Amino acid sequence: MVQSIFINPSGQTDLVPFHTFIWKIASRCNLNCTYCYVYNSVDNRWREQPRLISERVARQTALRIREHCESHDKHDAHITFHGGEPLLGGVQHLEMLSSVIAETFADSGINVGISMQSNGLLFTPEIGDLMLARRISMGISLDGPPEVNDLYRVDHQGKPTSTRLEERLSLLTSPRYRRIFNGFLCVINIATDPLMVAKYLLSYNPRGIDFLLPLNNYDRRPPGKESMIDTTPYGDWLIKIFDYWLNQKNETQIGIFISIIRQIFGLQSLRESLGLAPVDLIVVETNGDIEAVDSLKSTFHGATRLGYNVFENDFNTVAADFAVRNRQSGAETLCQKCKDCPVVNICGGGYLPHRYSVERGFDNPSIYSADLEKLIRHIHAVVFNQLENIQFKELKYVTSTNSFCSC
Amino acid sequence: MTSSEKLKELEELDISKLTVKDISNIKNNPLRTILLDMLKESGSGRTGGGRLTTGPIKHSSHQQEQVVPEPEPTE
Repeated sequence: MVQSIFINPSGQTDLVPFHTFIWKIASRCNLNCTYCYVYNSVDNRWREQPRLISERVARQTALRIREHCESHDKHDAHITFHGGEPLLGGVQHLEMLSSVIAETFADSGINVGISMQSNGLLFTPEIGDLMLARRISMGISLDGPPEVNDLYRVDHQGKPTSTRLEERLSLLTSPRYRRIFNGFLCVINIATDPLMVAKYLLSYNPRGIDFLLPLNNYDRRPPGKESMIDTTPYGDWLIKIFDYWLNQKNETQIGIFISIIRQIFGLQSLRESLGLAPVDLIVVETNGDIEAVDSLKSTFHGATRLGYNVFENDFNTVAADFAVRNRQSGAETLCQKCKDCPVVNICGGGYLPHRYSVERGFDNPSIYSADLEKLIRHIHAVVFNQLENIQFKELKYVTSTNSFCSC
Repeated sequence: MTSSEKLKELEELDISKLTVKDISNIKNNPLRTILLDMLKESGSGRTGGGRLTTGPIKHSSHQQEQVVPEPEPTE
């Protein structure tokens, strides 16, 4: 059971309502990325799922979301289409889903944003026109220029995919469709030149880029940290990009950097992988099962299973679940080493899947703990120095009440 | 206190003590944009625990949650 490996939080009584609902609208993929946490990791329950989410499941899920929002007097929510590859069902499937959502929330007073995370290979003008009409935005998974992207992001024959993707990207970033283009998700490969990767991604002038630490943990060590977890190859890789990005005139937001800067100033992180803010997202599988964040599939078989389904359970029941609330309890549920760490308010113990070990469950620091601390300290120093350079007069420094020790 | 000493302490900075004028003195880079955004946001007021919040956080395996703007009117 999932619950047995979490620490029991205490004293929390109020439900944190969900805001982001990740719909697995397809449970298969046209790619076979070697690092994929869904298809090439330790959890293979995707085989039991219907290939596509049906209208019946979609309608019931939308109704549950409306019911959840109304019970919390929430006036906005977000749905992310995800997979697998969410474009596998084609334009008709996408049209059905967006219609179901529009019908369900018509006259509700609830503003529902819709986005999608895709590998982009099936993007067409017809899909683009529908997304424009239904105001659906799209992020693309891309690890860098072809010589980097094709290392892991291959099709089911093991063939590279970058050439086809670049064609699709030309279409997506054309004036007609650029409005729906949100940016890139890039999984870090420390064997590559970070500046080459960054320059390539920035050349598309994306609205945002997120660099993701690979979904490894204490039992499945990340490349470069097989024997020594205190080494910082990922921190070093990211620092090179941060320094480059910060000195460019560009409008691209890099999520991990902005989240750290925001937290240095006491604002909330923009990403669930950093910080101590309550996690308010939930996943719905193609069969209507309601599950924990899907990246946990990288830890052990069944890690995301909560035992709920949209036909039998409402989202308030799920929000009250022990495993869900465990991710909403701030530093309370972190291991002692994290609680004692000077940067815990910013890293938040790191991303949950990165903390896993068979021996201790999630009661560990992130396997990337040393990388995160180095990156955070670097960004803090750079920000401090830039502000110092402008000779501000009134800026005071406030020590947060429960965060940083002076070690 | 020197920068390196500040770094050791990793103190939290207070955005509300910055002004638009201060920020405009930073050379035009992403940090300036972020600081201006945060300054705007801080105008909405602090919430529980003295920390600013901005609503929901995003799944780390998905790109930004931005809604597509309304299309520009055509002739």
